[in-house]
Amino acid sequence: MPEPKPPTEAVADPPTAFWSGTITFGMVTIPVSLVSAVRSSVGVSLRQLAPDGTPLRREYVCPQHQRPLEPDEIARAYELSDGEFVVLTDDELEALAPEASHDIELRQFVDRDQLSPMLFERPYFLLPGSGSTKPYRLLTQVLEATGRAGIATFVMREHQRVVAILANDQLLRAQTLRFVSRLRTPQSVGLPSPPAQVDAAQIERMRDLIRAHEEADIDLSELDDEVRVRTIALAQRKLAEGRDVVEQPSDEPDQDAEIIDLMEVLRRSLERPMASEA
Amino acid sequence: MPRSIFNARLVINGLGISVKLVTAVEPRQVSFRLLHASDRVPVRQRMVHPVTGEEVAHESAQKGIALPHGMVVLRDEELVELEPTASRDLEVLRFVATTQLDHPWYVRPYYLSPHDPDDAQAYFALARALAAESKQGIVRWTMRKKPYRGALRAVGDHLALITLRSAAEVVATDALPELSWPAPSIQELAMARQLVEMLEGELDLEQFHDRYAEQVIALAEAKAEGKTTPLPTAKPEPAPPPSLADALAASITRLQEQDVA
Repeated sequence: MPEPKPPTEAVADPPTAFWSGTITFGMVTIPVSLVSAVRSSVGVSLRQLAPDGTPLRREYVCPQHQRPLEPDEIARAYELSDGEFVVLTDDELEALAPEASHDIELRQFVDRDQLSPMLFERPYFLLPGSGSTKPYRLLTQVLEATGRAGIATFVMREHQRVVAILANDQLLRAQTLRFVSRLRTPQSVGLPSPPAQVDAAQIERMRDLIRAHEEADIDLSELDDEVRVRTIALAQRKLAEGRDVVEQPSDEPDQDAEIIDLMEVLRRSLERPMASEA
Repeated sequence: MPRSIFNARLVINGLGISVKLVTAVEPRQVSFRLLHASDRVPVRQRMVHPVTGEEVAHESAQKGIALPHGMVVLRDEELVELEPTASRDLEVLRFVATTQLDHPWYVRPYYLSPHDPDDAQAYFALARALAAESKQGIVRWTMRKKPYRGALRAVGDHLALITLRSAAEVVATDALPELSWPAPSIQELAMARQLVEMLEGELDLEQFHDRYAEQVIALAEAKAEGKTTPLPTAKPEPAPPPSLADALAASITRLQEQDVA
């Protein structure tokens, strides 16, 4: 009988740092790079394949010329209210906020508990850059010990973001926050106001109901995406039986090559102290 | 007026409260379009066969899932089979402390609105009770043929439901190895702590506006009127960094001077 295969997870894309810059904290500077803290894995979104099983490629075409475009033929434009397009170049956008694009300046610290989850947009890990391990560790330790978060704004991918810098498990994290102006209020969405008196006995019954169903810990299996789990299980079964398995063409970049899990990236960046410590 | 996106029933152990989900987030102010640079026509995206270059329409494309040892095709009837059962129930599985889920879990907030006037009392009582107990409910439901997980929380007098990432998406970092880097000294830690305390305040997010979006709009309008655009300014070379302890001490001194002034 063949050895049972270890459980195979779906292929995860290697996380890529798409922003690198500096955190400044007083006159202390910490070079960092930003990677998404969300593990992306196939199974959440399926690949599209041609009838012969070849994975499809995304392509941009000009409807006027009816031909595919090379990346350098594509411009980014802002649409004015009258429908006119204005092309904006990378240099022009960068010039709008040169510092904000490379620097997260921590000028204010708040109690982490003040941050409402309604504000949370996307989480990132901040990985230490070359020579920054000591100040990185310093800021991490202080934020963890005090339960504080630094608040700052910076520009990433053509959008300004408000960000909370916080620390957990020896890692600095950046949690982008929504602008308050983008968060609707109960009034602005037209929720009814509470009655002048909410029945005290009913509140008490609800509190009893909550206590009867409360647990000290989250059961993480309740936070599984069961459709994803069953989809991957079905695919694995079909793979083992050799049903509907297609070859991946070798010219597809990185599909079978190195599969790096986010956890592995974190482990590596924490295990290997950077050179040139100040 | 934002439209409600989903009529549902919040279910806690047999107790049902009819509610509407209303999205709590406004769309972004600035969005960009991609154009063909030479004729300024918005580009179209399409999926093509990588070898023949021929377009494959969405309907005729097969769906596949990439596993480490191969690509497996999933047929339409199999995908339909995998869809969760349609339901209007927001099922509360349990309640946990509001501090139980860390920031990476939360995705997108919705308000719940009491749908039926008869349920309004129960709705507002539940919001009060959640606030008094400092608890959030863990909720599961199906919407647009997709399974969702969410946190039911009191926001002021009302109820909000914030969608949660799946367990597979959130990285557990508590298993990371102990750091072997140079540790900051006790003195450096004390100074850093003092600096954080000096910069500490109440959270005031109203002060942050999307100034950059305003600048992008202004730039686009100026260009449309044929005005010249600003040239990128050269970045000043950063000064060589002082030692960590010196930088901390200088920062504290500077803040103290600002306080006196």
